[in-house]
Amino acid sequence: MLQTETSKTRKEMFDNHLANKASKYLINKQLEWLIEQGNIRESIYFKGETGDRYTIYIASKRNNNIIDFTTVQNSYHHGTELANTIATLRGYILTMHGSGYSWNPGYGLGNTFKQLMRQGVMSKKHSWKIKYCRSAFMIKLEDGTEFTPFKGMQIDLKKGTLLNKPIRSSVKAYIEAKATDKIQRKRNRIANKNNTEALQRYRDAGGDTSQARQWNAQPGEGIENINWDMIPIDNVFKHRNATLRSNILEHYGMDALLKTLKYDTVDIDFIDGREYKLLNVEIPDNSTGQSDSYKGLYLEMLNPSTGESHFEGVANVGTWNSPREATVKEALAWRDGDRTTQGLSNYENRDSKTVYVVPVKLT
Amino acid sequence: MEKKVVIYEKYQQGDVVMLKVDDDYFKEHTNSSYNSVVEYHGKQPTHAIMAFGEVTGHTHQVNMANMLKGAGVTLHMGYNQKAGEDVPQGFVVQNETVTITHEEHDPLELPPGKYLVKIVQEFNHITRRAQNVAD
Repeated sequence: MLQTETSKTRKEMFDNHLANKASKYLINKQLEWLIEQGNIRESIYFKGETGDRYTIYIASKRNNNIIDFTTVQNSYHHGTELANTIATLRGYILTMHGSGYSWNPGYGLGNTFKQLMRQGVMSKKHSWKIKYCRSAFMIKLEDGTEFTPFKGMQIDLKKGTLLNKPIRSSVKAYIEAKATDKIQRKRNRIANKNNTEALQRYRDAGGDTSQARQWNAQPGEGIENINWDMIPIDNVFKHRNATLRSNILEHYGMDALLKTLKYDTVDIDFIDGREYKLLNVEIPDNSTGQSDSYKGLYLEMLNPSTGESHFEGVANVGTWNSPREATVKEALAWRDGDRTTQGLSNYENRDSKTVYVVPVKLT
Repeated sequence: MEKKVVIYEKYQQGDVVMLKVDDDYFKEHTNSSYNSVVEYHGKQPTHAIMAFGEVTGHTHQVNMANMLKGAGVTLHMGYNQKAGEDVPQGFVVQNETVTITHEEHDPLELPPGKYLVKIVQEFNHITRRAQNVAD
């Protein structure tokens, strides 16, 4: 029996629309169908994209002109749950209300907007871009407008334009992120330049940099033909490769290097009459672009047999498996592995001042 | 459950730390079916090597020829480790006090007992790696 259009179910009409008609304004054909032809209380839904698979997005027609966007968690939930209202569509005007991520509304809203974009809730002819940059989302529209998404923002899905002004917190987040990005990009540029020049200098001096790039690279390889006069001591801070830094450090020695650096003495202690100093050394960071310098703890001590002074690095307090406080005794306990020997983790025995066991005899 | 307090005496020669521990703790940290045991006796022309300096070639060792006749040192080597090349997990000094020597450190006398061996660690802030001190 030939079916007339009036006898077709809504589902068949919907499927027919998706199969045969190209969308006019939106990339998401389902949503456009709901806007153009949907009845009140009809809804469409889709799952989030990769990385967002546990979110189901539901668009429900409230009346002839308004569609509510909500999300629910895709889980084995047998009861009912309250959906999160994330956006409203009035005609083709999308207003963002919030996100399912209550812990960070700013991040969540941008992320939710991005997930909607990934599902084609975006202008077909005037698309936009979104990126996450220095702790803030940034949307760039086709007309060049760039902003951080905010609660209440209105986007015309037909024309791809922002219809209202960004709120103060959005402007602030955008400006801060841009400023941070500018500084970081400059640092990266300088760090890249330092690293490239240091590599070239290393090769010009006769060193082999290719071995240091192997996964099993060991310090001391490829240095046989190096003319060390061509490699200044400060190049140790310019290489990004740890093996090359080790090779230069091995040649010059830590003692010579530390003499070129600034430091604070954070603790002095005498153990069996021997003087120990704990130094907080400012180490230039010319290779990573993360900062201008960073701090490193060093123990300065005397060899009791020869009377020579030397330095040994100690893990910084607060890092993994480190001394609990910046004192000589804690540093020595870390150096000798006393905490491990006593079966203590870093988080145990917090009340005790130190676990350092003074040697019965030290030579 | 309250942890057992580990009590030990520490003897140190440069970067090598020797912990004099009780029998139970020693057994717990050296006993394995894969481990090997190497014995040295006083007045014999051998050296019990506790650690070998990879950089300088210097060694922390007991020259058994100079020890008393009754003295004995037993090295407990870990899995796949060789006496004279690798650092033992521990060693036992028997009967008499022995003396450990090293090219850059004063001699260190060790009374009879059971010792665990550790190499002190340092953190290289330039390469950002923790490592054993290389002697």
